[in-house]
Amino acid sequence: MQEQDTIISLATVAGESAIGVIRISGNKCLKLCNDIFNTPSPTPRRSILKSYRSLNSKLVDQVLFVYFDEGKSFTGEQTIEISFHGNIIIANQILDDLIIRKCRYADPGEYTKRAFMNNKIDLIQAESVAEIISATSEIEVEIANQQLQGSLSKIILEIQTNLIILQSQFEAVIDFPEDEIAQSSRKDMLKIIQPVKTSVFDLIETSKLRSYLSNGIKIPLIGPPNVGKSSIFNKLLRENRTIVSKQPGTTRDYISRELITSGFKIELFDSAGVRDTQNELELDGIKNSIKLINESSIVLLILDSSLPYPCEFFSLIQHNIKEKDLIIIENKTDLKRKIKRDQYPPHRNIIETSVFENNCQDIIFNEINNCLKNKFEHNSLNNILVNKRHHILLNEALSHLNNIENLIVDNTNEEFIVQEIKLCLVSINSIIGEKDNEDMLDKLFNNFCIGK
Amino acid sequence: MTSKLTTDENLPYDVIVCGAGHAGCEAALAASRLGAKVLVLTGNLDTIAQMSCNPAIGGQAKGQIVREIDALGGEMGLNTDLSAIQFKLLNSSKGPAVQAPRAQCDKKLYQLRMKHVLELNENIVTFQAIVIGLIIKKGKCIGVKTALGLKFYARSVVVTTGTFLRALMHIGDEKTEGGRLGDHVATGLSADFTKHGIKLGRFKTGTPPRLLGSSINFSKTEEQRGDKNPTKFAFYDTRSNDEVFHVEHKGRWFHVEHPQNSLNQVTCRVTRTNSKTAKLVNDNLHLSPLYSGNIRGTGPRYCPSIEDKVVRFGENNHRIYLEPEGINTDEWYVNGLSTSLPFHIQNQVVQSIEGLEGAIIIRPAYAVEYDYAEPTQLFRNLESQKVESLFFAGQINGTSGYEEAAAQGLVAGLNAARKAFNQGEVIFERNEGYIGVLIDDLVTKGTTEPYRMFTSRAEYRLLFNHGSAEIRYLSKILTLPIVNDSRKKKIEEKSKLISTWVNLLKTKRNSAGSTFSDEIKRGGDFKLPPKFYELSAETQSEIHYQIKYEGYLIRELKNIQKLKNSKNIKIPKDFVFDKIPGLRKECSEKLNNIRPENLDQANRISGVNPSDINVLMVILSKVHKSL
Repeated sequence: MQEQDTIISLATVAGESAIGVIRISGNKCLKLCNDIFNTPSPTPRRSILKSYRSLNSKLVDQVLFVYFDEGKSFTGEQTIEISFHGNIIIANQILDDLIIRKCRYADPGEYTKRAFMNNKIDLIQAESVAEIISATSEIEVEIANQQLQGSLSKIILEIQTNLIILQSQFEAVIDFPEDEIAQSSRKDMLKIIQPVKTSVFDLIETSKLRSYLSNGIKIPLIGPPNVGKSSIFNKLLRENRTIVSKQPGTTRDYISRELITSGFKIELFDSAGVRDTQNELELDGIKNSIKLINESSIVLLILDSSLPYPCEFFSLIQHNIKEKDLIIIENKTDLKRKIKRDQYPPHRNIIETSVFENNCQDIIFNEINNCLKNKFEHNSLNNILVNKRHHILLNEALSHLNNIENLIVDNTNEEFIVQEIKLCLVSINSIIGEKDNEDMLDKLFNNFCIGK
Repeated sequence: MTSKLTTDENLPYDVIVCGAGHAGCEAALAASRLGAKVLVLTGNLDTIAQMSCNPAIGGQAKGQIVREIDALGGEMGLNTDLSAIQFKLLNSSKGPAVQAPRAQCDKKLYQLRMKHVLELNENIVTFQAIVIGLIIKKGKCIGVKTALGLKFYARSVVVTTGTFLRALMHIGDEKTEGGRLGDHVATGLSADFTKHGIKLGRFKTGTPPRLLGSSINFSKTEEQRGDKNPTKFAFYDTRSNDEVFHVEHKGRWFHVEHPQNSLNQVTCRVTRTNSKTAKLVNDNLHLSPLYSGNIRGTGPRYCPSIEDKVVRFGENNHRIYLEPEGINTDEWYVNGLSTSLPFHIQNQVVQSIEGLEGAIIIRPAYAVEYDYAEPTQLFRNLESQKVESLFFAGQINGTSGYEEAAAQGLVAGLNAARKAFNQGEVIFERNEGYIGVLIDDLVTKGTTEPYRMFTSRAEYRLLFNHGSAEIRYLSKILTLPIVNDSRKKKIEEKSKLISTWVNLLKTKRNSAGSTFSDEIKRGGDFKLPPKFYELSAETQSEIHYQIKYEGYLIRELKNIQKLKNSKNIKIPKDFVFDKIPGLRKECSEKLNNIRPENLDQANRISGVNPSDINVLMVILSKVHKSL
């Protein structure tokens, strides 16, 4: 029975808010308290402050959680409510993690249904609660719709439509053998599938972006040796934990810290200074720095404004920074300025500052936040936050698409290809909702003159 | 003893069937098989089982339906086989699931034989009378009034009036009342239905002109022959010879050759429209009631008039089939040229076509508009939700096609008889076959154009190969007295034989070490155990199909399993949907209209969303607990 599943959902509206609440109901809850919060026997109905660590023991957020015992919760099942800092990235991260821990998303109204099934509410309550169910589900539908608004729904709809068109091509041949169906060649059929496959594939790729957002956006501090990278790093973290020295090349490896800024989780890296050197140890550090640049999309370039333009430094990294968002920090403005900007790479923002300025970190964070917002909030990809559930369904769809291709290439009978197309549609429909067979027939009659 | 004609209210018939078309005949016969005393009323005895349009039975999805009707004891399969003049298996190059038998029939022979089947049936009285109204007492239909002033009484009434309700025929500007050229119109019934809350809609259909064969230049047309080895509609491997000839053996006057012997198949012909045809149609479009706005009913998209074809697809080259209407007539049906253009334009259109330059039209084409009763007002046993003991079947339910009509007739006939005997209803499920899909689509979704079956409508198409009909309906065949005991036994044996052999071939290995099923899947040359070849051809091919396509079939079966859960949550017949606070108004209206019988059916209603289903589930489980 489905009731055995432990179900989860976001109880608050998706988006920015002071706090968000995730509700978990089902017999896995006690185990989850132990696994996630290291609290094997939580006192029921008591708020507990804990770090939420995901299955790969990454810190997600500081949260408050409340545990309810079986029989003493709304649903009558073990229940946990987690309050986290209200932001959709954290919410998704927790939900994703719970899915990995074998929970599943609740169906609309499922909490109330369980409450009813567990005799927590009687008929009169059930009837009045029925109103609430539909109200709740509307909110839930709205949440789902929010995610499906804009780009994602457009793309999924297109995939669905193309699959239905493809199906109608085969159905026409099956159902109207006496009509002259100008059927596309199998080669043309493959041409219909190709873009569908690409779209599905791209969506799966965006889920990587999502995990990128969830796992933290990497922002390395890169610069020639001794320009003050570690000092700025420390200043940004407001604590003094990295080794700071005046001898060039002290940070051979890198040090990183995760923090949350304007709703984004970022990971700052203090890296080894980049210069032309023969020292093997130092070369390793430089390689690491270059690797860091390659893995990130926003890079803080730290320069010493009291020195001339660092030709050597820029020539070493010029190929790696081409497609990155650059924030150039001209440090040491307290000294006499020598640096010239005319050779700076294009597409960069510049900050003049000095670690000795009190608000130095605020200026830098301000710029980082702008950059993050531009990159992730106004980017259409941001709307396409393919969640875990979608991800699984899209992967299913992709494997059906591969099968469809093979069946077409193998010259398999139409009826079997259609079965595969229908299975693919089941996966897609689970994301966006089902289309009636009438839609397929519409396409069919619009494209073919049927009429024996 | 043969039943009597009686108007005695105290001696009601078990079932009255109004109409004797394809639905009416199967309804009467199905009811009679359950032992019901049946009165069939028809406006004209000479048009019993008339093929008003195409002189053919079967075709894609329809052929499968006929085989299902045959599996369920219906007459259509035998009647077709015994009056067919050309057989063709459609999609013969594709897999068994989408192969469909089709047959050209001798139109008169088809009618005469079916009429004789009714005449010989001891439980059935056939009487010529036009039904003008229902007799309804306390919300229950107890009889009908006829134009003669006679009243007839019954425990159940089945309405199969086809296109005759407020029927209006169009040829150009000319309008004639009547359901078929030369026939009457039923006017009283529509008003009676409306009076009792039954909502009516209006559809349109059309038929092409008929030509005199001797005026056709066949040498300019392409020949289309039947199959050398005809695929029949009836199952012969499970029938005794006596059952096949049940009419021929007992009848005093009626005789036809066994189709399996000496069948001289006729040939059909193919020609094409051309740019001249298209121009004629385009130039005279304003004269067609379809385009002048005179016809308001919705017509079928799969059977467009030549006006529609030219307007919508423009190409000049539409295929036209010439089909003989029988072997004792020179009347030819012009398949693909349905129109409602004025007669003189019809003449020019016909004569613009190659081979038809000198063709003489002996029956003009026409369009007909008619009332249908929205099928969503029916329960799944085809009984009206508004009037108890009143059943509807056939074109009156918004369908099109002889086969679709016959299938509904069978379902309505069975259920009308069961109702008369106070027995439970017989429900056809979507996973059993096309008949289940047909009934469920009609009562759950309704239809916006004359409904025709397509294989794409079936979720489990791959399981619905025409050869497996008897196996699929096994449980109904075993529990209802719809086939005689000898056939029942044979069908049961066949079913067991198939599963035994399928298991055997899956496990038994040949000398090379691979299982026989592996060999079958691989294809190519191989020998199965000698005993296999002693099985009937039907049994062999079913075993072959189940093994060869095992993987695909298993997937279909899994999907069926998923459905079963929500099907088990039943909705009581008197359940009041309006009083459920959480349901949106739009949704409760739909549910009230369609009155789904279980949660699965509710789920298929368009406009009912998952949260509505959850609300229902909550309330229903409480209802079930209190039962």
